[in-house]
Amino acid sequence: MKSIRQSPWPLPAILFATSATALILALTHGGVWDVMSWIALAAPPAICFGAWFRQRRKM
Amino acid sequence: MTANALRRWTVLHRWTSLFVTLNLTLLCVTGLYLVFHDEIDHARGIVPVIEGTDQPRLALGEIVAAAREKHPGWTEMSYSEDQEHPGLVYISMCPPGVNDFAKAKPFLFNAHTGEPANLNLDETLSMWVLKLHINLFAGIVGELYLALVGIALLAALLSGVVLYAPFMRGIRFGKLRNERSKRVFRLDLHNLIGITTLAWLSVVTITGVILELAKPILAIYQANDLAAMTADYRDLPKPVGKVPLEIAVASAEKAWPGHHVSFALFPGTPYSGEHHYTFFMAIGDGLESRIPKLALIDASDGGITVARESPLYIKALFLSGPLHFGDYAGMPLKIIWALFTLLTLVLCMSGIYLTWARIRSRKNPVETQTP
Repeated sequence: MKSIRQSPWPLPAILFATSATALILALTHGGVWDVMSWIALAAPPAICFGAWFRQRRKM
Repeated sequence: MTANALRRWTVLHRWTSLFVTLNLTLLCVTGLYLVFHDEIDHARGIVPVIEGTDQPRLALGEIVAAAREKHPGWTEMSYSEDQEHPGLVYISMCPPGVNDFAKAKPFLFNAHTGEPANLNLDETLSMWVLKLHINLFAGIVGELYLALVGIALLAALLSGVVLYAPFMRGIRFGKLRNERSKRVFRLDLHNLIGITTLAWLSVVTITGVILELAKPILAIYQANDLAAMTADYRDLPKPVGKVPLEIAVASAEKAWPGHHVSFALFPGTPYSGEHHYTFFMAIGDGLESRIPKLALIDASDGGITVARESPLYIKALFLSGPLHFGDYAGMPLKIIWALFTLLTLVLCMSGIYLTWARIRSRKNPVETQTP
C-alpha cells in the first residue's frame, strides 16, 4: 500500500486547502487568526526550502 | 491519461510558461520590492514630515481649496486619507482640460496646514517600480498585456497541475532526486515548488489579473451601475455650485453610521458623474474595512441619492489589492510573501533550465544523458 507521501495528490491537496484558507482568514480576521494564517502559509516555503537544503547537504 | 492528451498538456504548459517566464521574473523582482516598499522608503528617509499636528485639522473643503490654489486650473478627481500617516491626505488632480484618471497625479497635503507634503510621489523609486509592475510604463496597453500574461500563467498553472501526477507518480512527496542528473533534480524541484505554491500563486495571479483589468471593470461600473443610479439626473444641467467636501462627507456618514471615508470621488469625474460625490465607506479593521459600501451624495444640496452595497465586481477589485500585495496581516505575512516570490523566481529559472536541457538533448542526445 502506498504511503500518503508516495501518492501524488493528498499532501498537495492539503497544502492547497490550508494555504487558501490561511490567505482568506488573514484577510477576514485579526489577532490569533493572523498567527494561525502565518503558520499555515509558512508551510509551503518551509517544505520547499527544507527539501532543497536537505538535498544540498547530501550532495 | 492517453499519450496524446499528455503531449497536448505538455505543449500547453511549455508555451504558456515560455511566454510568461520573462514577464513573471520582472513582476517577481518588482513585486519583491513593493512588498517592502514602506520599509525601504522609511530606511531611505523618504517619509512625509507632518508638521503642525498641534493645530486642529482644516475642514476638508479648505484642504481641497488649498490644493486648487497650489495647482491653478487643475481639477480634483479623488480624495483619500493616508491610514499609515494620520494627518496626511491624498488628492488626485488632473491637469487643465483633462478628465482622465490615467493622467491624474496624486498630491499629498498636510490636513492641519493645507500645505503640500515634502514628498513628490511621482518622483519616488517606489512609484517608479509600481508603474513598472502595473503597466511597464505603457498605460492601458501595458495593463492589458500584463492581464494576458496573468491569464497565460493561470493556463500554465492548470496544465502544470494536470502534468504533476504523471511525472511524480511513485515518487515520495518532497523528494528531490539528485542521484540521476541535474535535469531530474531540477524537474523535481520545479514540480515541488509548483505544486506547493499553487494556492498562493493562483490567488496572486487571479487578483493581479483583476487589478490589471481595473479600468475595464470601472468602465462597466460607469456604463451600468452608475448610469442606473444617476438616471434621474441624466438630463439635468450641470450643477452651478457644489457643496463643500465636508458636507458631502457628513451626508455619507449619515447614510452609513459608524463608517469612515475610505475613498471619495469628486463630481465631474468619469466614475462619479456630473451631479454627485461618490464615497466608498469602510468600518472596523476586518473584512468590512476591505469591502467599502457605496454612497452617492448630491453635489448641489448634499442630499443622499444612493446608499447601498458596492457591486460584486467592485468588491472583488477592492479585495484584490491586499490579496495581491500581501500587506494585510503584518510583517510576518510580508516575509512569507517574499519567500513565495523567491520560490516563484526559482520556478521560472528551473523551467527555463528544463526547456534548455530539452533543446540540448534533442541536439546532442548522447552527451546530455550523462549525469
